[in-house]
Amino acid sequence: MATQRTIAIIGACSANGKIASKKLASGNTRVLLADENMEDLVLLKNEIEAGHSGVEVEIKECIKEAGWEADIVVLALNWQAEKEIFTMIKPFMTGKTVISFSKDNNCLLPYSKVISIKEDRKDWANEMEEQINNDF
Amino acid sequence: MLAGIAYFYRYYMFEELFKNIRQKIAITEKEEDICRSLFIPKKFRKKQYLLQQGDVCKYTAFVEKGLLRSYIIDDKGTELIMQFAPEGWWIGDLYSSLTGEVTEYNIDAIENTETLLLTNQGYEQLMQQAPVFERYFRLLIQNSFIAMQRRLKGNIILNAEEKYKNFIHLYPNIVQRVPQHNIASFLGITPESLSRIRRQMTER
Repeated sequence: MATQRTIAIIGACSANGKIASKKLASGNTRVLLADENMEDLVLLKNEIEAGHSGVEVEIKECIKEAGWEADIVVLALNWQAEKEIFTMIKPFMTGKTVISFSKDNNCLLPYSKVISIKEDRKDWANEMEEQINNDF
Repeated sequence: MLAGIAYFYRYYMFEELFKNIRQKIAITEKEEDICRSLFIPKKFRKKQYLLQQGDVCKYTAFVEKGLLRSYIIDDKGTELIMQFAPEGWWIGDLYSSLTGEVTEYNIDAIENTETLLLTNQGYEQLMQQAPVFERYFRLLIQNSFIAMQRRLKGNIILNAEEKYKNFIHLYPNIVQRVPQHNIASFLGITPESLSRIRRQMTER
C-alpha cells in the first residue's frame, strides 16, 4: 500500500500544463490544478476526471496553499511568471520535487529538488513521469 | 508584496518548532536558517495519511498546528491508538525509518494539520551542520522513553479512571478535539467505560 501523493500543477491550463496534468493524474494521487483562467480549469478538471476514473482532481485558487499541500510541484509557466511564483512559494518548497520547463533555476529554489524538463524533446512527459516515480 | 508573504511564512511556519527547541536548547539565527533549509513544510487534510501500514516510514513529523494520531489495525479491523500528536509534538515510526523495514503503523490527521517533516537524511544533515541538535534530540528521545515507560506502567497498574486522569494530564488540550472512541482506544478501555467514568467525574 502506498501513501497518497499530492501533485500541484501551477499554470495547469498552459499547453505544457495540460499535458503534465493528464500524464500525472494516475494511481494513488491527488492532483491540484492552479491557473488564472478558471473556466479553462473547470474544463480541464472535467476532462481529466472523464479520462481517469478514481483520480482525485481539485481546483486550487491559492497557489501558496497548493504548494504547501503538495509533495511535487509542476511549474508550467513562462519564465517571467515563474520567477514571481518562485518568490511566492519558496518557503513551502523546501525538500520538495519541483518540475520546471525553464532553464537553470536551481538558484531560485536552493532547497528543492528541481528537475528541468526540455519541452522540445518528444517524450518529455514520459521522462517527467519516470523521474517523479523514481522519487516516490 | 509577494516577498512579504514569503517573509511572513518563513516565521509563521516554524513558530512552534523553534519554541519547542528553545525550551531545551539555545539556538542562533543561523541554526534557525539551517532548520528552514531541511524541514519540509507540508499540510495534511483531515483523514489524510502521513504513513500507511506496509510503507517504509520516510519522515518524522513535527506538528505546528492541528492534530495527528498513530494507530495499529488488529486482526479484527479495530484501530488501536498508540499516540496523539497535537501542536508541539513529534510523531513518526522511528523503528521503520531507522531499519528501513515496513511499518505496522498508520498515521493520519484528525484535523487539518500543518507539519514540518524531517527525512532521515535531513536529520543527519541537521546534526552535522548544527551539532547543538544532538542535545535536543537526545532530550526528546529521553522524554519519549520516559513517556513510554509511564504508558506501559499505566496500562499494567492503573484502573480505567486513573488512566483517563493521566490522559487529561498528558494531553490537556485535546479531550474536546478527539472523538471519544479514539480516547477509549488509546486507553485500552471500551467507549462505554469511558463514558461512565466521565459521567462519574462530572457528578462528583
